[in-house]
Amino acid sequence: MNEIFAPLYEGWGLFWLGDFSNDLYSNNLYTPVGLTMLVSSIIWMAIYYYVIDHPRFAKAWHWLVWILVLCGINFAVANYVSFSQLTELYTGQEKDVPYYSEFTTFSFVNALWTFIVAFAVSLLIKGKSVMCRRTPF
Amino acid sequence: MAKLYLFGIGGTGSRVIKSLTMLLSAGIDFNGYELVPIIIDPDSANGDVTRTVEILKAYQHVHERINKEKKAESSFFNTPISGISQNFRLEIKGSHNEEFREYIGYSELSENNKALISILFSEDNLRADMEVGFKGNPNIGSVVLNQFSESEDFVKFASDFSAGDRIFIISSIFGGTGAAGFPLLLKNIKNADHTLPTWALLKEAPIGAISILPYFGVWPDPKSKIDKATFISKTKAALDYYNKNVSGNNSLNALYYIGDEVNKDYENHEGSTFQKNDAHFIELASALAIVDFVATDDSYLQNVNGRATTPLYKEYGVLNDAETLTFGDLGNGSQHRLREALTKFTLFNLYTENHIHSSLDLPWATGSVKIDRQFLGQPFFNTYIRSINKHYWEWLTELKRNKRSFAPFDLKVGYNNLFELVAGTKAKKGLFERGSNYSRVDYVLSRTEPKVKAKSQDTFFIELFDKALEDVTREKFG
Repeated sequence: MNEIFAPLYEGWGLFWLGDFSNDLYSNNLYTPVGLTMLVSSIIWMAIYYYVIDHPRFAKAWHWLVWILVLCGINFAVANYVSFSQLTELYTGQEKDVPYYSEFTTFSFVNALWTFIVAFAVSLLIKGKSVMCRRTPF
Repeated sequence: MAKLYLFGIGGTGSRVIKSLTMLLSAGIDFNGYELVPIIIDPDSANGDVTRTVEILKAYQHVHERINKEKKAESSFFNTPISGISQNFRLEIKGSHNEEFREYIGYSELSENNKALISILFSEDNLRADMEVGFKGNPNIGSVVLNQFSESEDFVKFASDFSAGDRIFIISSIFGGTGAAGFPLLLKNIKNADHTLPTWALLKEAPIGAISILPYFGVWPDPKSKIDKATFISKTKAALDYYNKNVSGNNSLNALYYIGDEVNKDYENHEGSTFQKNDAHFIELASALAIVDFVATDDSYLQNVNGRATTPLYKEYGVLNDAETLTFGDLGNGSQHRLREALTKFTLFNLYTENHIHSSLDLPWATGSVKIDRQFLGQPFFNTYIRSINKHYWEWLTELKRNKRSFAPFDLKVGYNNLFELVAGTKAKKGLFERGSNYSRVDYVLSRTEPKVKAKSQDTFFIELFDKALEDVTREKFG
């Protein structure tokens, strides 16, 4: 799993954050963050299209807000997982955590992938929805 | 397609035709008949007539548009309506712009004949201007309307009549035009000129009629020739005449009687544009008599030598003698015919007048057939549907404020209580139901949209609303 998620989070080099990325990879942290992002996107969008599926929430901006909330959740998940795990790692080695903005950057990347995956899930499942089958388009 | 030639005589005749058109708009089953309304009213400017003609024309336009490609799968506007003349009216020669004395050539009569005329007609009768009808004088009407067979429109009707067609006559018994016109029309149909190729068909034609007994009054007015005190005596005289010459000799296959003791006095207008009475439940029930007649099996409507073999006589009654009637006060037959159709059409009216513009981005409006602002601006919706909506709402409002009142709906429902629409009925609410009020309708419309196969916007629009609102009505009030 880690091998699958690593290129995504490192953006094939575009989002590579040096030692921070190495630490995430070597501590197998891409897997929980990636799985959470994937599963939450599927469930979150299924809730929107099949459970809520309400005339009042069928407009494109409702869909956008719904996805942005999920992006926010996954931003927090990535931040929490990476920060807590790496803090634990470096504290165990009696060192200060050498990263600061990297946590935020990684969290943004996770939010970006959340958006992309949720968008793709939307396209796949929206056809069977009653009210939202033409949302976002 | 077999036709029902529906003669509406006088103001009451027009108002019953209006009620029937409302029922047909709402999708009442007309047993596959095409309706051919024929209005007989010498009062050409009569407000009731002009209103009815306007509604009939709007209906015709909507029906034609939605059936252009193929037969629309919709109960709304399902029955075709056609006319023998452009304005659905049967013109009677010489019934306009003259006094009755001129019409009968009084000045050229011998002294003996003048004396005879003075026995049959009062001085007021002789001076009566027929521009606004017969002002409640059947003795005048019976002379003028005896010219039916010479009317071009009557000849056109007689020539068009085919095997399988039926005839129905609506008339009030307590006025002038209806009371005089009904037996004369019947006589002219049964004894049609033998030069007409269809005379034998007309003689054996299944004919039904409704005779409407007093159900409203007029305010006393010394200047008016119409006096409600004469309504009952006129009714008795006419009934006695019918007993011998209509029902008594089996001229009709079905005769319906209706009337009401609870009634309201209208402003006293002799006719013209001012005669525009509020719609009344009696007219709606009379329209149901027509629906009943077209649903009657042929075996009950047989004639031998122009006489009905098994004539039917029917009266109308309600379950509860309440001053304000709702669906629950009607008999099972009426409830069955009216409840679902009128509820559905009232929801259609409310949605298209109050909510449609804010829903055009929802799936039901954005599929392969688009319902957009441009569509709503076209005459189909903006002129014809909205005209029918306006008249339908007016009709419901008038039925409600009349006496006896028919108030099956709360006409003041809004965005937060749409389903409190049907008086005395609590709408059902599903546990996991999506959407409430107009949102619920949006949801059901969107759910129904993929099932509607029509390609033209007009047909799609009507079919979609017909199917979806049927679901909503059954789900909420079924």
